[in-house]
Amino acid sequence: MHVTTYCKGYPLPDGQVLVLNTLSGALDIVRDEVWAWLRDAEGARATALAPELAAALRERGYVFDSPEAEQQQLDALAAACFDAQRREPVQFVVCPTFACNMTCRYCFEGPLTQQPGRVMEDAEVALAFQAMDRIQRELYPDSPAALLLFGGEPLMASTRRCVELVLREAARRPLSVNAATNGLEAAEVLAALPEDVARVHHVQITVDGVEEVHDRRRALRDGAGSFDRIVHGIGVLLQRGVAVTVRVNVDSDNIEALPELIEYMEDRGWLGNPKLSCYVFPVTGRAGAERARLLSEDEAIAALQRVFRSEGKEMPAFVLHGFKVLAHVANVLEPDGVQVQTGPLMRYCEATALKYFAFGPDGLIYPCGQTIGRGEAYAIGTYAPEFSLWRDRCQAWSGRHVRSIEKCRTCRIATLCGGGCAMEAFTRARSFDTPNCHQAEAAIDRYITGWIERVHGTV
Amino acid sequence: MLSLNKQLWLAEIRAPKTGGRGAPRASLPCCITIRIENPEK
Repeated sequence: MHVTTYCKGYPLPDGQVLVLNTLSGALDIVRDEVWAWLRDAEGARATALAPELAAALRERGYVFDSPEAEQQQLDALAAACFDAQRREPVQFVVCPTFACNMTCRYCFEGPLTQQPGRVMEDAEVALAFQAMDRIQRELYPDSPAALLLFGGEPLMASTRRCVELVLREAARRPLSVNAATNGLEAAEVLAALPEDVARVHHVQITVDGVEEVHDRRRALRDGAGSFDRIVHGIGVLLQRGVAVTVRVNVDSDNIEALPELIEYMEDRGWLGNPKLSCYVFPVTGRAGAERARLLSEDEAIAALQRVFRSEGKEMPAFVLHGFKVLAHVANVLEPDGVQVQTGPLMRYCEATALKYFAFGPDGLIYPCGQTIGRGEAYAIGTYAPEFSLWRDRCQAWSGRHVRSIEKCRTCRIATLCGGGCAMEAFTRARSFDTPNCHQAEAAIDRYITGWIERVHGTV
Repeated sequence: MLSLNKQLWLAEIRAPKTGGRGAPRASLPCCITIRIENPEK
């Protein structure tokens, strides 16, 4: 008999223990003596369990015949995940330009967006779509595909012609189209497009707080605020039936103002609108962000719990959607919230499944959003003037998962974390073979402890 | 023992899906392009 080490216990006020099994995905509440047996605390395992309980522990993935049987279970889980991932959509991304009409002070793309920035020419758009066709045909014939407009800022007067051409090509495939935009000119640009091009059915727009908070973080290039124009644009898009996801980038500068923003969104009727969703994500600091303001995931979760508690308000479930490491646990513990679909994270994201291909105006193909515009050192190929995918680079990305990273192989929360962001790991260690732990276990502990305090009372 | 979720990961991944939500995502999309799978909910 072998008892798994892939589990963590959290004491409940009534003396029972909430157990999270990161091999099977089980979340169970057990008596404290069962938890002691699982840990073999003070020789507890010398006492035999009742047959029904022993069977239940086997069924829920706590007990195996041998360590080898446990390993086989992990292998089977990984194989099933990788197989499922092969069938998931390919994400094609077109960046009409790297330039932006705003100067958000924490932008991960940094000075790249503040240069004049050329816009993709017609011939480059055609070559990008030829490359997409070839990637899908040769690598993923069984996967659907979707298109994302990204940048820089994709939706500006200066990119309108390029966007029209992209949407025309998308309509011919057909590809569904989303856009990640700052929202400043999005409504006007989309309204000016002809009827026969693909419809952008979903946009993501960032709002960092109420007006004063947002404007000091996300200003126009002349320093003026952007809040009024952006919220007006969101309203227009919603009226036209476009789905909008509001993203809130948080750091220590604005996290405490989040309840005020949520109140504002409630007052505008956004939160009751089925076309609007919202999530919060901690700012990351790869390109000149004010590092002192950055929050790790567990710090951000702790701050959010504290802020809502101090105001006597319930934290809406969507607030934690951006915290990928919590997705499975939150789905189970808070089933009334919008469920973010996830299984175990054997890979951190679609980039490490080589299912993200971003086409920049520089003729390069990039493997993830965080690499866009960083030049050949971060690219995985070219599409203009010639199409080429660089095998070694592609393998470096697609070969990174929790079974390939040595430290992740023995980590009991690896299946919730996926090894963390590959780009962060590469930036820090110049290697894909290291994890980016980003306080993942502390974030899980913080979330579950907060849930217990809220639902079960203080331990 | 009180189980908070009935279906475990392996069974969930292997089970045929209904309702148009497709197979469970083995990974969420990148933070930049996060998609809420069921925005109509």
